[in-house]
Amino acid sequence: MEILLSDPYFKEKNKAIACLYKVIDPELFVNIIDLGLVYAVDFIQTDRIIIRMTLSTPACPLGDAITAGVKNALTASFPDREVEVVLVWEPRWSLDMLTEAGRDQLGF
Amino acid sequence: MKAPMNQSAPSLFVVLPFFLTGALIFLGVAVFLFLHTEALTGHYFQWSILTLVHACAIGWGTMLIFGSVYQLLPVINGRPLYSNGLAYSTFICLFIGLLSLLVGFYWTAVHTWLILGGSLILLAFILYSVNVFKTSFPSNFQSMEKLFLMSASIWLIFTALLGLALAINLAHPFVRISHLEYLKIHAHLGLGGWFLQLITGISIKLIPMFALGKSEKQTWLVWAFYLQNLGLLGFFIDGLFFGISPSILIYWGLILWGTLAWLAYLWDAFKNRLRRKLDMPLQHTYLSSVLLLFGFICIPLIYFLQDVGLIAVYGIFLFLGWISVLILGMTFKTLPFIVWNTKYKGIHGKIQIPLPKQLYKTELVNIQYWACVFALIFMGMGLLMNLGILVKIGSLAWLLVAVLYVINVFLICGHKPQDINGNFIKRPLFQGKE
Repeated sequence: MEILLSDPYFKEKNKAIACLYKVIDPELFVNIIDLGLVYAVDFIQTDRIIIRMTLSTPACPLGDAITAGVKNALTASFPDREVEVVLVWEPRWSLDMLTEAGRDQLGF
Repeated sequence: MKAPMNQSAPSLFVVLPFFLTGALIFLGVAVFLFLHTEALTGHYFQWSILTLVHACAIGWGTMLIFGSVYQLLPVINGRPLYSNGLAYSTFICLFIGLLSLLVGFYWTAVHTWLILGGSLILLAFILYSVNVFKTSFPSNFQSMEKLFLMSASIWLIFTALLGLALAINLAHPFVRISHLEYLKIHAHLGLGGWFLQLITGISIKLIPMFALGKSEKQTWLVWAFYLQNLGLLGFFIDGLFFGISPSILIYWGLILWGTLAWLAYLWDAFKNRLRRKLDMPLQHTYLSSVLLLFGFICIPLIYFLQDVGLIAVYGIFLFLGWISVLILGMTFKTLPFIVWNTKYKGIHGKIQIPLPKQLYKTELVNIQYWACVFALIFMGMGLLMNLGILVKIGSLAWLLVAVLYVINVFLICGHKPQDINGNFIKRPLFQGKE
């Protein structure tokens, strides 16, 4: 996920992404940013953060734990905002979405 | 496309009794096997073997599988389990029914215990099937794994019905064909109808998920479903009316073809996996598949040779090999995640926490795997060569497998939340805003 320098919420988004590095996919042992699971972080509404993300598989049994981790991580750093997680399946997650660090951690 | 949020997993207390009880029964089976190895070299229709097989198939295999399915059903269907109450009732009926059955087989050979046990087990299977069907319908999620899970539960009920009929037949003989012929049908409906269909359904969901693999060959699964069920249906009807005849080889061929179609699908997903390195629980799965194929090869040999040693090897390789090895591995791909999800969901993302695989001793799983291989080789060789000492050594190694497994299961179930450095976490951290 890229954030443009011209983005009016550049600072907040950077801070949010730093928080999301703490959230791991417990099966793959890699954080959700390096896995490329987070598609967008939205600060447009003043009272909430909307995270658009996916899971490595639609039937992921730990999807609950991952989305709870996102809420936990962001609520601690943005206590004045509600955190809303929207799961999406398009675009479907693939290997191409991994960062270099994610590829290294998965061993390829 | 926006997706529905993942549905909550069932309570830990729904699935935990199945895992804990199954693990303890598995240990009991290993002790029993070690003490009664001489029974393996005799005919299979003896009370000690019937006790062992039913403890293994119902108390260990089915118990663990029920726990796993109750965890997996909401994932497959994208909705919560239909009824936690039915799941608890399943456990109670299954446990009491099994105890009654084992008492009937081993200690008393009194038919009333067998009939009571068989009836309770049948009730447990019906309750389980109601939960499977009611969770699966209506649902927007259509998948092959659902079909396999539902057909497996139907075969499970037929297996129990036939078993109960056999128990009644001991007290009040009524079947036209030999009791032993029906026993073969009962056993193979359980193996091919229940275990094979269920394992097919679960594996096509879990193995690609764990290996990050993918296969586009969905039609192979359709073939697998129809061929396996066609073969089973033919075997069941033919066997019920005409007993075991050469035509079973046709049904064997159909089921084998369906099994190969399923394994080919898994192989395709495995070839296209993203995770190159396989962990030890997944290696258990691949060993289990090889043992299943070995079991298939044994069937025509047994039919033509009628060798007692080969029959015992067949039973050992299917119950302790295929089914048990699979469960021994898959436990560590399910149970740690269930416990982790319950204990850490509330603090995930707040602090650094252990991973699910750090809830148990991976080195014990490694030893467990090699002890399995050792045990199966020794027991197999001992039974084929009729060397009791080899069977005894193998059963001792199997006892080691059971001890290591139970240690790890209890480590996982008794895990207390802690941070990555091993410091126990105090309660207030759980009170996060969600």
